[in-house]
Amino acid sequence: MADTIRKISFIRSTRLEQESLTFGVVVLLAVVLSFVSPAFLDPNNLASLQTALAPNLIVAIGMMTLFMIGRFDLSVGAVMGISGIASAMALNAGLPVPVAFLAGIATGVFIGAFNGFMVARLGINHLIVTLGVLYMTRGVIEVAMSGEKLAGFTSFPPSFSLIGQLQFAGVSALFLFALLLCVVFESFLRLTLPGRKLLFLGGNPQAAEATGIRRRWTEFWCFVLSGGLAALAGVLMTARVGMANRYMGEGLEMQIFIACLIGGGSIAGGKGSYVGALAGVLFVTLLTNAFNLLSVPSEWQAVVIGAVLVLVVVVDGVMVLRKSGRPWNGIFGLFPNRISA
Amino acid sequence: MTPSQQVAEGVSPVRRFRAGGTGGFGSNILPLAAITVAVAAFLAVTQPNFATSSNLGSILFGVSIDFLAIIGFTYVMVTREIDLSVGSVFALTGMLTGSLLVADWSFWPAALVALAVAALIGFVNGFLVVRFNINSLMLTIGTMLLVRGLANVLANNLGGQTYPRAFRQFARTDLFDIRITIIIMLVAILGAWVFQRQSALFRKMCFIGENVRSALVHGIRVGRIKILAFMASSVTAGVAGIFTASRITHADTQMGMGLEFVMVTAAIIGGASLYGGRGDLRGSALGLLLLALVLNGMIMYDIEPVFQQFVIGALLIATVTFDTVLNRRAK
Repeated sequence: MADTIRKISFIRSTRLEQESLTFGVVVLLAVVLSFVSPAFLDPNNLASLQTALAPNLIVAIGMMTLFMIGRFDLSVGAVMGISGIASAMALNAGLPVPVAFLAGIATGVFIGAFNGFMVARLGINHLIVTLGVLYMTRGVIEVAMSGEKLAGFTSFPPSFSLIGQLQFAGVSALFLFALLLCVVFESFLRLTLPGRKLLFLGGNPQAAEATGIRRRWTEFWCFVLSGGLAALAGVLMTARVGMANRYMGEGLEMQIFIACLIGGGSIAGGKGSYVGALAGVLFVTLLTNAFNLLSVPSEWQAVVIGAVLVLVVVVDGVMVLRKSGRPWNGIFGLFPNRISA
Repeated sequence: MTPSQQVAEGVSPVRRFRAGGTGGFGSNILPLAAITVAVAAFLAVTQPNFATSSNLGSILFGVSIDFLAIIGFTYVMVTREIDLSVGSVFALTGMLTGSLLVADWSFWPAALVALAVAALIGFVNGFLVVRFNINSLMLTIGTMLLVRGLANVLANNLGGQTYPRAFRQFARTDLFDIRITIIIMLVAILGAWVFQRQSALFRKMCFIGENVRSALVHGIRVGRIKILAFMASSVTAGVAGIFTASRITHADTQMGMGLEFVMVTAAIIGGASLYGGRGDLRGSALGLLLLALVLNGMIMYDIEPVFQQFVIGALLIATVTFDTVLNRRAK
């Protein structure tokens, strides 16, 4: 150790160890899939992959921001659904497209602000608040859609549908937009002071507050961001598929949650990057795609998703224990030292 | 109380008082009972259909089955953990018993196998939480999805078949002209009363919920007790699941959906806390009864059934807010 200073690799110095691992797994999964299922490289399948990736990535950016400060938001799937319905209703009422677009976003921002208020101001457990909001929002969706057909709202003005259909050189504009958003957020995280503060706040809230970072303020706006981005994804998705119904975004929160954990986030906070969110979303979307291509029944899909979540949470727990200096033997040994809490 | 005082050094007197003291323990039972009676009286006066014996009987029957599931759940909350997989375990156990019976097993072996599976799930939950120091909220969401998937696999295999006749009759077993589950509920409440007042185990659970570190320092086997609580939670959920499966007579993928949130809400209304160290089975029973009355009242007033989801979510947030604000005052 004393003789030379070892050169630190790029991956290590940018703290992208877990992210690059996930990217590796994604590439592996893609290669395996293209061998196992010939339909995988079909242009139609690639197009539908883009359509699935774009909203997931947009939602994951908001979720990853919360992960960095040690919070998360389980209401995103429901928010996505309700904002799509809100903009569809506005269009149905004859409002112009920009207004309907804003109506959808405003719904999400409002729900995000409610979450943020409850968590940051009143200090209530974020899991309970966002789960409760998930339930309430789903209830509102059911009430709003009662009397509608199962397909929901399907007729939109062409200028609205155009937003979702736009393409550049065969690549969906939505997908490019989501990637751009990811790049913008990643540079915000790495190059600006507020971005660094996010990670600092998650890593050690007390120390961060002592140095003058406004914890509650940041928490509140991160929840607003998460709600707003979920709403944006919902409205864009509505424009893309040309439908707003009660099924949109159902179960999405768990997928995004898993994506963020796999992509390098931690429930404890202080870790994560937007590139990681991209890697995680790629993994989860490919996994879902694989289920569909190999026609795995939906109940087994739930089993796999649950098992992956348990695995990821356990690995995350082990990593946190390692970070606090416990030896491997103390974690996996037959008689671990129980005084840890 | 003496060990509590040793352990709770540095915690304010108010908190110590509410945690284990004789005055604080179960002190919200009476107001809660008063509210429940008031809601019942209001419904009885305004709705002629409410106070009929068949309506009251079915409310009580439903509550008594849910109550079976909340027994273990309440004690998990006392140790400052939570088990969100109860709804799924509830469904899996019921459906497993049903499908074994359809496959011509006799009742007791089928029920015991199903309960053993439930106990195993509880053990895995508890073991992972204790060994890897994982947030139980997160972990049990994972097991909730996993177990729910397995339950749906069973439901699909059964494909809407009804269970054998003897099993369908099982939940309708009467003892002295009262449904057996109602009698079990009453006995369990009396048992819980004794358990919570007399047993060292319950006190230890409270210490663990209050302050894990000092509980460990004082030689309480935290890991063992937590795993036991998780197993109890799964097994009691399983027993309730068997009764419910018998009651609804066929495999239903909706079985036990959202049960965990009803339970969190009911337990917190009944005096438990997300911050551990408290919990009262009598209160949990009253909480369940109150929720059942509110939902029944909403049906009486023709409020859309889909709106129930909204109300459950709102009640969950409201009770947790109350719990958090109270806890902050106490500190």
